[in-house]
Amino acid sequence: MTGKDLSMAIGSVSDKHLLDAEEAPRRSNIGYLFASAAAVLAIGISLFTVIRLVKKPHGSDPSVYAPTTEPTQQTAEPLNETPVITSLPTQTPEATALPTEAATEIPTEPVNTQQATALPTEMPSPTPVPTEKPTEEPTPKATGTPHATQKATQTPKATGTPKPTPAPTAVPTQQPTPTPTVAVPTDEPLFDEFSSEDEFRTRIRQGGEVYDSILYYYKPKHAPHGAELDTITVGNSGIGFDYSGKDGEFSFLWLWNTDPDDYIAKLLPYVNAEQHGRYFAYHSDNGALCIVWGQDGAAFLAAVPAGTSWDEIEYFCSAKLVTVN
Amino acid sequence: MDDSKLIELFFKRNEDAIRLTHEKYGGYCFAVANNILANREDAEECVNDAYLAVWNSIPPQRPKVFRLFLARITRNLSLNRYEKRAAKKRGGEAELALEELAECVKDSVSIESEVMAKELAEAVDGFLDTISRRDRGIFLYRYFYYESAEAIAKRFGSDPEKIYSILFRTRAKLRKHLEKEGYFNDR
Repeated sequence: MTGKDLSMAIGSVSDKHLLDAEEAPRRSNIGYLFASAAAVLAIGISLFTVIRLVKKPHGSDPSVYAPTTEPTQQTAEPLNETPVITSLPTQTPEATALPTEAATEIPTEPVNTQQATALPTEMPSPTPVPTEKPTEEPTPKATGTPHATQKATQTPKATGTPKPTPAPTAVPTQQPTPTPTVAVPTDEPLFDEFSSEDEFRTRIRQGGEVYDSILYYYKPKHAPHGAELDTITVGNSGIGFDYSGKDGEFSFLWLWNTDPDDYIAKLLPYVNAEQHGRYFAYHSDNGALCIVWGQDGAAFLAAVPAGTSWDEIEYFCSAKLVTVN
Repeated sequence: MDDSKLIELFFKRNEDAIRLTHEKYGGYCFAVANNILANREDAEECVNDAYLAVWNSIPPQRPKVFRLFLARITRNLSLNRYEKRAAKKRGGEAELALEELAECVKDSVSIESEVMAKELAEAVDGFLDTISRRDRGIFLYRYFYYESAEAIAKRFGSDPEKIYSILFRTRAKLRKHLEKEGYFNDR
């Protein structure tokens, strides 16, 4: 067989493969976007964690940093009591030599065990939607459009057509009572602003019209600690959230499709993801491990320190979202 | 014009079919030919030959995806023309890509009949089912459309080195697949 023979054989591949090949760059670029967003998130969270470690006097609250040795025994506990399950780097001796001012500052802040994890597990009580959101001339860097057509060479923050941020409408004065129809065996309902997941999905698909609701729903759950949500961009395949705070800027992409599990499964091979059960993980450039999983029609993203075991990941992700049948 | 209407014109033996095909897909076909031949004149001639071949093929054929049907014919005609060129006039991406493919099937059995060629095509098609969409896309942009690694890297937002690396791994997988299919002599 010659190279020409093989080439002629390649010339006879099915239309399906050729059409698929034409789609591949677009898909790949989505994957890159997703990875970029995850990397940005992971970097931000890692930075935040390191800052917390440095600020925290050694030994003041060992439970905050101690790795959980038996994570599975704690899955039934309420989320707000969930101990941190991820192993963080060993504290440096320098931490004990911190100025005393630092040590005295810490107790003034409420010690939140969630802060040491990659993502906050606690769902704070709903906060009012900021009414002073910028309504004109959004800066391009603040808007990451999770569209499939973005070039992979672009970072989510630097690209995407800046979408004018609609002025938030008045915050609904009456919040619907959280009455999830899906079985949620924890204190934290998955879709607390809506009566059901379907309603949430239906409304979220309406795009900008549910702006406030999305913000309301996501800010407490996914924003890095202390970060303010700058903009939300609703695209065809997901929502981009851009935050800024004292620890820097963060982006978070929430992608959906008719079948998010399928979507994730197709997407993650492009970022060299490793699959374990329903979770997919890949290492970001800074060493953090990004975890993505789909559940009940949604896709979720988390980040944990590199070296976290799959058991810990299982526990970590279950603690966040539950409804594991 | 819609492709189905174009195909209908071919079926009605209406010569406008070729003009309209050229208007719609002339640039696309030229790109396919020029990737292989790297010569404007040769590529244009190949595209014209392709229109004639399409005219002779439809009817009876009724392609499902007219654009790909055109691409296939243009590509194969271009490869034939490339092969007929004097060796010194070859070069370009086609030469590199064909060398890569030749290396991939080194020491394989010879393809001596239409039936074997068809079976080989099926084996390659089956192989493409086994690799990821991204790798498949990169593979086909290289060996179907004969694009350069630089052009593919641009499409995929990657860098050429990474594309070469993916192509290398994919060729190795293809060789293994063909080994399993019996295309290599037992050693």
